[in-house]
Amino acid sequence: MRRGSFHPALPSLLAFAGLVVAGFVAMAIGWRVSARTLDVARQVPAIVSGGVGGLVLIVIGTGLLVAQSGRVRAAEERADIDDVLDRASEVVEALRAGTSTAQRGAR
Amino acid sequence: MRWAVALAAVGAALAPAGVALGVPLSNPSVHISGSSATKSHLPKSVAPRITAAAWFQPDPLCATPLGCGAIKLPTIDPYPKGTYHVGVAVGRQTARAFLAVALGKVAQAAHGGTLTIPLDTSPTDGSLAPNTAHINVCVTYQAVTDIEGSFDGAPSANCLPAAHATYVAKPAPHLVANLKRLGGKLAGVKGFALLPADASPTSAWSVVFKLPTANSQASQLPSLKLLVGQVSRTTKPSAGSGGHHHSDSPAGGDSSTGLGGGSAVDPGPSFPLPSQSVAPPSTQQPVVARPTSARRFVTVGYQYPEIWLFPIALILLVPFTIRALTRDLTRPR
Repeated sequence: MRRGSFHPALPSLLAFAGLVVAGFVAMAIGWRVSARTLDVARQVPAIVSGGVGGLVLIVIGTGLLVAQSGRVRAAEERADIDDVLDRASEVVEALRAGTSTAQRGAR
Repeated sequence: MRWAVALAAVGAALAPAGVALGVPLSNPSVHISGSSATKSHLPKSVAPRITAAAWFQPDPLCATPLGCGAIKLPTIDPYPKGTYHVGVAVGRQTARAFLAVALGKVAQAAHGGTLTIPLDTSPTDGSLAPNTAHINVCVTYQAVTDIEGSFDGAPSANCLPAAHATYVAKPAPHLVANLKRLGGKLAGVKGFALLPADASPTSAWSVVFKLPTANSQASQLPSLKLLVGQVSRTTKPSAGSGGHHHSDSPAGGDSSTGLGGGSAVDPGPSFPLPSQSVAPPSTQQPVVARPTSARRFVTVGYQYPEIWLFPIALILLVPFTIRALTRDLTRPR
């Protein structure tokens, strides 16, 4: 596989999405642990670890995901603008070359 | 390389999160216990019958996200039939047992008593370091039937409060539990649960007991003696105070057991401290209830020490995040 065949932001996007998924998994496990016992001494740590911890993971993961997505869009816009400028430059060069040829022909 | 870093980061984020969740502290981090001494007045002793026993193994699926009972596992009893087990291995419960009792109305009003469980110390029956066992005796309000080694169907136990069973080596190895802490909580009780109380990650022990068979001797069988009668906070004891009490307590009031021999003086917290004296009062003066202000702080660790991976994973995740948020994301041409 050629190096750079995937987007450079892909690993980080996957990692941040993993944080969000981990948050949901944490909440599910926390719910499961607290639901299978009537012992409050076990329910409270499960809810705190699973619920609050999961919520924190989801918030952090979502924030990082949004920020990285914004950076990806900005990078793509920059790339598109560079592309347009390159093409405009090529057109200008072509026009210049065409004008020079026409002037030589007129002489 | 980048993929590997990304996958490692996701794995590091997922694994500790999963570990962290099922990790309620195995015990509250601090036990504060204290009790007040009481003197019973004209108690009578009753001996309810132990009708059945059961022991259960923890469902291995409980440690997985599937949860307890997700798949019904077949009963696997690695021990000889007719033996019942309570045990801990590397700090985790491996077996818990239940005793079914038939409590009459009088017995349900008991304010104390003693549960004695002779032990089978044969290693071939599964016994392992029974002298290091720490067992709590709790009550259960659900029926106990004769089951050996099942992974599910264990009755729920109520351990608020619980009595502590203590190992006594002589004349024959047995466990003794002073049920005074369960006094007044026996209405509707259908059995007693024997649960490991030890949370030390290095502890490993297993106690084994048996139920009556045709050729059992009385001294080899679990027995329950309950004290019924009036309780008063202040009373005048007779000399030695032996006349008012059941005679089934360990002879001489072995203080190492946390029991006061023939005395009804509360031995204190269910986890007796070595320094506590539980000698019965021997004076003729009225004995006023003395609060033993013993407070004990027990430090216990996390049930799953792997939780320490969580901050390490966060530390690894921070540089990865900084790098990911500052690198040039322009797609190479």
